[in-house]
Amino acid sequence: MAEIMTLPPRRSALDSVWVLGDYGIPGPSGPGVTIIRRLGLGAIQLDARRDTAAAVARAVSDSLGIALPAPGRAASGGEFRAIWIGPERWMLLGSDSTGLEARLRAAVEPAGGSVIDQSHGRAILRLSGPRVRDTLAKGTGIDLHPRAFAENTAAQTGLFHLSVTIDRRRGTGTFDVHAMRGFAQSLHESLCEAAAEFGYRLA
Amino acid sequence: MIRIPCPHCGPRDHDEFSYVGDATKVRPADPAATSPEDWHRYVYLRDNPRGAHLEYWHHIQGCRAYLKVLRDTATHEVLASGRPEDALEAPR
Ligand SMILES: [Zn+2]
Repeated sequence: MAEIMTLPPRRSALDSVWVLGDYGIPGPSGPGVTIIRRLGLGAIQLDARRDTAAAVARAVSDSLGIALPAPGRAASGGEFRAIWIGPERWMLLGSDSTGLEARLRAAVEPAGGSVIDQSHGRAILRLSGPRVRDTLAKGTGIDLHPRAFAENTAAQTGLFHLSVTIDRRRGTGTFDVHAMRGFAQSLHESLCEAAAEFGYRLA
Repeated sequence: MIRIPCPHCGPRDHDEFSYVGDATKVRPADPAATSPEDWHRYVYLRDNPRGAHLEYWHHIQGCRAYLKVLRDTATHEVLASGRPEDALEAPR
């Protein structure tokens, strides 16, 4: 019988450093980078066990209406986003209110998939604005030019020496950066330092 | 800077990877029938070749997969890469 475990409410790892405002040296048209925290977001890791990837993908598509993306890609479907994070492994994201974890578990376990809730272990920032690529380029070896990193491209890589997932969202110059919670303040500090010369807004 | 083509993620800087070890060693097939000398050879003894060498690497900051890499120890040129089970050959 499954037991119900009640978890304490989640608090952002950045609560103590997140002071809304404009900082650095803004350009003529305002801050070059705007950063928001994506709060209240569930992050659920999905692994397909050996030889089950096709069945797991079918189960996800049938139950959640989202097609699991190919390597190096991300996809939106319904209220969810899926990011390829490794061979036969994806991260699914959706608002806490969607019951994503339970729905995903019910759908994929019979097909051979495993589900691990990472929501409490991730900090997710959304960066937008005309100087986002210049800011990120200071900390990663990935080519983020649209020719190499089109919309719905995602990569797990190093950013300011931290392990992150970078997810290029639809819309010009918007990137979500996922880091492990314990490194959130370090990432925040590095991003702010890198964006200072372009001006940045914590929103 | 060495760039390693990950078979899953594409070419990445080598600082996204960690070195795992010599990929030429084959684990003894029958542990019970393997002599201590053969275990010692498998676990501890390594050649130190100059030139092409087979190695395991871990894409620790990327897809977290283990890879096999054929690397020239003198020039650091990465000659081939693949999954751990792949037999790698240097391009001619
Ligand atoms: Zn990889």
